[in-house]
Amino acid sequence: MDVHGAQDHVASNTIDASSGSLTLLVERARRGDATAWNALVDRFAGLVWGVARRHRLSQSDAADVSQTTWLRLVEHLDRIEDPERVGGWLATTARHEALRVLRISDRQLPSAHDDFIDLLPAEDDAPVDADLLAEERDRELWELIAMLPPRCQLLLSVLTAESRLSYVEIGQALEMPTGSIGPTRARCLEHLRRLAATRGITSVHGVS
Amino acid sequence: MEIESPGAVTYPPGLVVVAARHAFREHSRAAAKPLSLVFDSSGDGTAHESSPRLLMLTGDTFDLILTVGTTSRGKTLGGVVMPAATVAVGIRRPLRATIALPADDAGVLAETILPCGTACVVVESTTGETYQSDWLTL
Repeated sequence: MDVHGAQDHVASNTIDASSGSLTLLVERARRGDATAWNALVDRFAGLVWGVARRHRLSQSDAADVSQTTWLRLVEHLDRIEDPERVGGWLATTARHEALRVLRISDRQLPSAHDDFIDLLPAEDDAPVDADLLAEERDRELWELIAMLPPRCQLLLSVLTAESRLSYVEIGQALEMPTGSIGPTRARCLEHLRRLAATRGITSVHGVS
Repeated sequence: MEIESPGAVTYPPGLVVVAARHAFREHSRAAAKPLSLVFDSSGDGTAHESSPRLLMLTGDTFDLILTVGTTSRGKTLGGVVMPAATVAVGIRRPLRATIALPADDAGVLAETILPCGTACVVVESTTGETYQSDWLTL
C-alpha cells in the first residue's frame, strides 16, 4: 500500500465516521485513502482510549498504548479478515497491549497504590466555559463507577463507548462468553444503580 | 439528577487522536521483511520484577536480543546481534528520526537511552534488505 502517494490525492470530502460500512472504510484505507482512515480513527479512538484507561494506566501510558494499537492496525490492514469487526480487533489489541504495559510498569515501579484507578476525565480541549453542572454530574458518575469491580468498569466502558461494538466483538475483546455479557451488564448496572441511589441519584441516562 | 454517558467524557485528548491519524503515515515505506518477535519477557509471568525486559527477534539470517531497562531519564536499550556485524540495527519511532544502535565487532549493541513510547525495531542487512518488527510500547 503506497500510503504516502495516495495521501497526496485524497479527496477533500470528509466521511461521516458514524455511518457507512466498515468494510468500505477499511477497503479504502487499504488503498491509501487517508479520509477513510481518519473516519476509522474518529469512530474508534474513544473505544481504544477507553480500553487503555480502564487498565489502571496513566494518561501517558494510555496514549502510548493507543498509538501502538493504531500503528499495528496500519500494519495489519491488509490482514484484517472481517473488516466489520475491526472495532473488536482494535479493542482486543489495545487490551493486550495495555495489559503488557501494566505488567511492565508493575514490575519496574512496584506501587503501594496498586488498586488506584485513575478515572479522571481526559485532558481534552474542552472549552473553558464547559457546563460546570454536567462536569459535576460526570465526576459523580465516575466516582460511582470507580467503586464497581474492575470487570464492570471495563465492560461498561466498552458498552457505552461512542463506537458501538457487537456482543461478539465485545466478547472477543474482553475474553468473555457472548452469552454472559448481557447478564453481567445487567448486574453491573444494578450495582451502579444501588450506588447511585445512596447518593440520591435515581435517573442515570446513557448507561441504562 | 441526570448524568451524561461516560462515553462522552472518555473521548481521548486531541493529541492522542492526532497521533492515531498520523499513524497512517507510518506504514512501511518499503516492503520490509518481517522481524519476528519470538520472545518478550513482558508476557512471562515468572520474570523477576526487577529484571529488564528481554526481547528476542529473528530475521532470515540473524537473531537479535534486546534488553530494555528503565531509568529516570527514560529506557535503556542494549543487546547483541548474532552473527556479529551482519546487520545495522535501529529503533524507529512514529514521526521521529530513527535511532541507530551501533554494534561493536562482537555484535554487542551500545547501550542507548530512548524516550518511552511506541517504537519498532528496524534492521538493515549487509545485503541491503530491510527488516521491521511489529510496533511495541517500550
